[in-house]
Amino acid sequence: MKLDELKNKFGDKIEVSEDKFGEKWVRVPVDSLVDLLAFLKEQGFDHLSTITGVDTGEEIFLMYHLAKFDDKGSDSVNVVTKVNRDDSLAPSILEVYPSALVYEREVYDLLGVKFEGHKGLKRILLPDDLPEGYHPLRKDFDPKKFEAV
Amino acid sequence: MSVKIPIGPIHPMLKEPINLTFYVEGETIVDAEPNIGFVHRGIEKLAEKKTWFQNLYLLEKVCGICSSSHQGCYAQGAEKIFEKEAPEKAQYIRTLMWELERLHSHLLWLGVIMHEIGFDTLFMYTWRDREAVMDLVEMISGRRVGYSISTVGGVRRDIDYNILTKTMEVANFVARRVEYYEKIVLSEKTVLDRTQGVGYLSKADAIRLNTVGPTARASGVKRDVRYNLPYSIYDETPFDIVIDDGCDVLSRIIVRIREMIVSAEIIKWIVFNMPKTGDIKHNITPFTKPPVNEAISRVEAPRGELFYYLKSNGNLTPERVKIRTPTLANIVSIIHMVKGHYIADIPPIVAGIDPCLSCMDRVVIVDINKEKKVTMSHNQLLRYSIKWYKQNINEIRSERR
Amino acid sequence: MPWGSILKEAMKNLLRKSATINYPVTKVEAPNGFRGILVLDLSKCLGCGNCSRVCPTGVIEMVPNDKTRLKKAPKFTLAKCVSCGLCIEACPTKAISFTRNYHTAILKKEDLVIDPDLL
Repeated sequence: MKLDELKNKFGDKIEVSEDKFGEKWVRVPVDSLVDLLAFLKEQGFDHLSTITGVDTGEEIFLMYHLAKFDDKGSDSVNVVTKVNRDDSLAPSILEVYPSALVYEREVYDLLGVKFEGHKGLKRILLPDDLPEGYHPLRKDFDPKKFEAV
Repeated sequence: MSVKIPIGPIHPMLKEPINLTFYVEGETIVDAEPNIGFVHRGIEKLAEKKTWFQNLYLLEKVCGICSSSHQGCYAQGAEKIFEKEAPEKAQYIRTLMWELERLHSHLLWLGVIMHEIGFDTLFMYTWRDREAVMDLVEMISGRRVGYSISTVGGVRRDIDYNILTKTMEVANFVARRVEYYEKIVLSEKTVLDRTQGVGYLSKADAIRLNTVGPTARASGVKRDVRYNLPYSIYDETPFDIVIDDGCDVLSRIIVRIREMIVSAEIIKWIVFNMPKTGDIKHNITPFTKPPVNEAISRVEAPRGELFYYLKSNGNLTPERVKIRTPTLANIVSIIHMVKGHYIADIPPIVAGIDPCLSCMDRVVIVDINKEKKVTMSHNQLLRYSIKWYKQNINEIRSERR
Repeated sequence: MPWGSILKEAMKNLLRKSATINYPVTKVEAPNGFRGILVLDLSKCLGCGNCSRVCPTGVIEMVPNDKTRLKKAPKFTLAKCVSCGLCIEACPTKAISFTRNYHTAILKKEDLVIDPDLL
């Protein structure tokens, strides 16, 4: 898949780049995320490695790491999008990749990003009875504020 | 209406805790729900407070059996961030440790799944043969478990000539024993009754649910990071991908046995072709600050594709370390594989994906129709399933023909 | 014969000695290069503090001591040590080294502390 085909289909909404290690990065706003992933799945990128959440202190980045394992040519591409830190909301990609069931629950549990359209969004790694707002991977997380736990 | 069976996590006798809830009607399973997180230690958050070099010794403790894969994958990613590539001799030594680790991990798994079926003889034999590999690893690296051989920029120890000779003997010994086990597995009636036709996962489902590792290769899917996206020196070694079309638990056993034979070939090639001279690492001091970069690293661990994402913002400590282990990717397929099977088939199916976070612990069986709750420990479930198969073996054989 | 394949091996194993070792009655020696308990040579120590800065688990603490050039020496609480070897690589005079001793089961916590005042 050449990066220019992507540019032709989606125009100005996305930015594509390739870094010095040969990895391809595609930046997209959050409302065109599901369309872009559905298009990439049709091109043969049917393996979702994982969903990473990074908190930089000002906003939260969500990265979707895709790969194509094909005999004739394997490839990998990474899709990056941004959400706010307060009331973080993103669309769920469960319809496109069923394996996102586990990864979206992990991002909700550790970073507090809610995915709309995900049936059964609850904590997966931490105990179920923790209070609201207890998301340890955030940069401003302070366990002393939740003294009652 | 179906019966709910929760299988609980904490049991002093077992290796790792996983909690599974099975919805059952009579003896047949209708649905399943995994509940994980009992060994969550907060490693990703702790890794943001330690330096790049101290993290090498934190991340090798994520898993006890695949510790070298975790450390090597992190070192590969950190070398991209520091913009220094490991020298050639270091890559040969690192790959040798990865393949030795694959040998002893698959031998351990073969013993465990034979124990789950009730064939304890093979459990004893495989764990005795595994000691040859553990003694060799102790001579190379200094410890049997947690051999910290990789560092950022290369490896820490060199290998001398007598250890290389011993490596050839161990590789030949394991290849010979493993060929004998393949003959047993394919001809013993006990093993075939419990594993053939059990835990079916079709090729389309394996691709749709993004399974990784030998579980996917046993359903005919050609997925292996060493084959599709080669790293280190794998494109020069005599590596051949191993796939099988059976899609059941017996195929998963055959795939892992044949992978051990391929690993023994790769180890012998490395011993013949290792460069005799050369640096083993770049001299990067532990107080060096890296440039601002982000890097991705993928490695084929014994259980599947291991994925690391690293980000640096120029400080001595990383900004983000993200780990995705292969067992997490395969949990979604357990839910799919158990539907339509009996309770007595639960141990081989769950052990078939080689969970690196333990098999089951305590099973709670809730019979919806009678509204009665029964709790069983792991040993009780194993004894129940062996006895159930002995009593109903004739019906099962005629059903599966 | 299907049932005979494992029977032959089982007969051979009846005449072999057992695969397990009778530890602790039989002593087992670790091979050369084993990473066991640490030992400190105070005559080579400068007191620079490199070892305490690189340790990942907080084993080493610098305490005041007259015998070194910079008037400080390391104190080890070896119960937390994971035998990684970073302190050995960071020491400029090679004052710390591994032994081949792996017996870390003790009765008193003070047995696993290296105090430079007592060396």
